[in-house]
Parts: sequence; C-alpha cells; structure tokens
Amino acid sequence: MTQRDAMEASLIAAVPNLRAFANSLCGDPTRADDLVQDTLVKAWANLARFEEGSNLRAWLFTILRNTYFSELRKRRREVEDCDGVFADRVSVPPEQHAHMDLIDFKKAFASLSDEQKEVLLLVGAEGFSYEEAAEITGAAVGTVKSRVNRGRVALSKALGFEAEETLDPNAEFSGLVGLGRTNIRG
Amino acid sequence: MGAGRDPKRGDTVLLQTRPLPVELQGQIGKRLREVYSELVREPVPDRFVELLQRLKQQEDDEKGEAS
Repeated sequence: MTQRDAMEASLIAAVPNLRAFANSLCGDPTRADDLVQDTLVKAWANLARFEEGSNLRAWLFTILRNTYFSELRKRRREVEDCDGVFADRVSVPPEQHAHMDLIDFKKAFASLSDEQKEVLLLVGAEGFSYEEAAEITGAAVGTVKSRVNRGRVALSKALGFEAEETLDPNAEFSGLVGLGRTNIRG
Repeated sequence: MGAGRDPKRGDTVLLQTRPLPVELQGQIGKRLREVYSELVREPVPDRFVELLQRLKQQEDDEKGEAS
C-alpha cells in the first residue's frame, strides 16, 4: 500500500466523525456534507503541509471548522444576523424540568452559540483535550474552558434545568442565574 | 445574548460562570455523546469514497502527464 493509499484510508475513516461534527455544528445535513467534501478536498490538496506523525484527526477538524466559520462570516456580511430565531423555537415549557430524555436535546443544542457548540462537540463528544480543542479553534486554552463551561450552563438552561432553584437551593450555584451581573460582596 | 457571541471578545469580557453541578454535567455529557454517536454511526454516502478515488486518480493522471 502506498502512502497515498494509506492517507486515503485515513481520510475515509474520519468521514463519519467529520459528518457528525459538521451536522451538529450547522444543523443542516446537506450543508454538512458539503462542508465535509470541502474539507476532504482541502486536506488532499494540502497533504504536503501535513506533518507525518501529527494528529490527522485534529488537522481535519481544524480545516472543517475554519471552512464553516469563514463561510459564516461571508454570509453574515451578506445577510443580517438572525439571532433569536432559534431561541424562539426552542423555548422549553417549565413543567418539563428534569425530563431530559423527553425534551428535544438537539433543539436545545441548536440554541447555543456556534463557539459553544464547537467546543462542546470537540471536548464533550469527540474527546479532544482542552489543549487540542484550543489548537483546533485557534483560541486560548482558558477561553476553551470558559466556553465549555458556559456552553454547559446554556445547554442546561435550554433543557429546562434551573440549577439555582431546582437542584441546589443553597447559595453555592447562585452564579448560574446572575450571569453577567456584577458580584457584589456584602 | 448577542453581545456574548463575538468570538474575539465575548468570552473574556464576561464574568466567570460557575460550573454546573457535577451530576448535571454528567447527564448532559452522556446525552450529548448518545446523540453524537448516533450521528457517527450513520452510513457514509458513496460520494465521499468516490471523491477520494477521484482525487487520487487526478493526481496519478497529472503525474503520468508530467513524466
């Protein structure tokens, strides 16, 4: 088997995960497959720049997310940002508290920001380390950690969990609701 | 929410968010992995296998012409 054959096999082997990632990120299967296709074409064209022995999976995810975000920036320049469309669609009735399986997890996930989605997918679903996720997203490790953290909080809220009220009535988690407010020490 | 979305600035400017209770983190993580692995298990459409064969073929053709 030539080196190219081996690379072809490795790329094919990565496709299921690339598709899952693209799909979860953009929420549109057709667009997700186009993203995966673009990723494979770019990867193949840049094989010479890929260093033998380094992390192929991380490299492919980097190409995919860069492609996604640069397309997104292009679109946003063309069309007004439609923030809030998802938020309206995914509001969860309060009586569904704590029944995570009954609530559409995917809808809740779709309500997150792209930056939160991608780190939750990379770290939480793909099992990349914070350091790898930082490299893939081009962000600092601390930024990745904070995005994961805030992504989880946003996700739990979208799923109908009000951590402060229903899980722990003590002050320990009061920070959850006071997001963005200045913490005044008494 | 909009202000927090700026990928360059949003994350560092906001005050620190308290982590979720460990138990809830675990539940959410488990559900995420379940949903995600369902997607990973989807069969790969032929177009991707064909695409890579085409790319490899193209390269071989170019090499053939060059020599």
